[in-house]
Amino acid sequence: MTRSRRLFFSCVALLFLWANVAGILRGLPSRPGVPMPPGSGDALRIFGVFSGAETVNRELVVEVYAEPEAGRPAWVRLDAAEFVPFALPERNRRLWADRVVGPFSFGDRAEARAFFARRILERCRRTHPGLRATEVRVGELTWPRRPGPYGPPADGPVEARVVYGD
Amino acid sequence: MGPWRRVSSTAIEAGGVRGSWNRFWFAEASPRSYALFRIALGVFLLAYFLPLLPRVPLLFSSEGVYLPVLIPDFAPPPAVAWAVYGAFLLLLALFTVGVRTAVVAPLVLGGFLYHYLLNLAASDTAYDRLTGIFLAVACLAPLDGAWAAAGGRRRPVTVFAARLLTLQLAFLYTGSGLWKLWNPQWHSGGILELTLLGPWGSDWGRAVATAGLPAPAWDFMAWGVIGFEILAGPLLFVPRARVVVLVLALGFHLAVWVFLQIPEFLVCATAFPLVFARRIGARPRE
Repeated sequence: MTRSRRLFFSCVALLFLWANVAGILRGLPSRPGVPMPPGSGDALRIFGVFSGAETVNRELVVEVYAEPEAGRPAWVRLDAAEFVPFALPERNRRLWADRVVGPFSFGDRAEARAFFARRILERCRRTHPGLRATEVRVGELTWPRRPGPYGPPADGPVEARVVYGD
Repeated sequence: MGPWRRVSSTAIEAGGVRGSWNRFWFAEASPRSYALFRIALGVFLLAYFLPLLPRVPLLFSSEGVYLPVLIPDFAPPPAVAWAVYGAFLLLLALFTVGVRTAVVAPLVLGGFLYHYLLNLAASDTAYDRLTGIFLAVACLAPLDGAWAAAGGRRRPVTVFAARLLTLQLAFLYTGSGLWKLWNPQWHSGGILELTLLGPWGSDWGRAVATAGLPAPAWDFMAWGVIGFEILAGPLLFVPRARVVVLVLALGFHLAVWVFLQIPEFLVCATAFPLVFARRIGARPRE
């Protein structure tokens, strides 16, 4: 291996070590603010998995405003997996549409959510033309975590709110 | 060793800090370790991407539901999305069997980033980031020095990429343990119990969470995870402890799959052969 190649790879190694150490130190409660190499901040968000003890379950649901029809509610709840075909936790994360980073992406969370809602509405019009959907909303169901099968309890308290829509 | 060149020994045998640095990063490595890594990572990626086959238009086309991250909206029509996806699967197959990996590995990284940034990144998961890091390092690795269908131009087989990924594993385990140690919520086992009762918990996980284990048992498990993770990193560099650590780590990732429905962290196991990449006792030559 030539000296210039060794030098290049040594620089790569140093950047790699710097990025990982800085990424780990971000977990300190005092957050010392060690700068990370450019572009590595998001790529190295790998250390803080399962960092919160939530006492409630939050599940996001998709509803569309359908053309009024006898015997059908105005807001029709659809299977969210039809639009976001991932396992439940990932489906929830994606429906939050919270990951907004970079200069070429969305300006803020509201813009990202509006985009995502529009994608869902367009897809719904294509796959459920009979509904003639004009609006879409993503709502959140919240209920206490407790033993037993997963899901909103039929007999217990379930809070519902609209998170965003189009 | 086949057509593969030996590593220049001049820098390796130098003394002092520079020599130690060069020995650590640029010693000769076993091409078989890299080949095992290549095959394992290729199989992992195929297992990750093949199940997306029925949903390509939904996930990656202009008629789908996607959320680009870091990039503008460039989702193509469904026919193009199919073509890109098909080409990516073909590249993954070539990568796995070891065809011209010096060219194919960067193309696989490009294909991964394409699909990742167009939609998959919206899941915001650590395991997807790790997969990207592993692929990026794979681009620096001599992957087709053994068990390859068609090797490319001769390159020195150094331990460099193996060191990067071994260190990445060490940083991941120890860093995750330190983050938990610094997080007061992890000082009680309640966080484990609540996590298993949440959306990540599988039926097995929920069964454990409802088994009525006493609080000290949950505390023991939480501190056990913290202790294992913090120690696993440095112990990867202790030859006598390596195998035990990797067996425990594999068990840990399998438990995360069984109880939390996250098989994707098994991407870590694809790098396990690289922990043993350095040729012990091999004499480098010009």
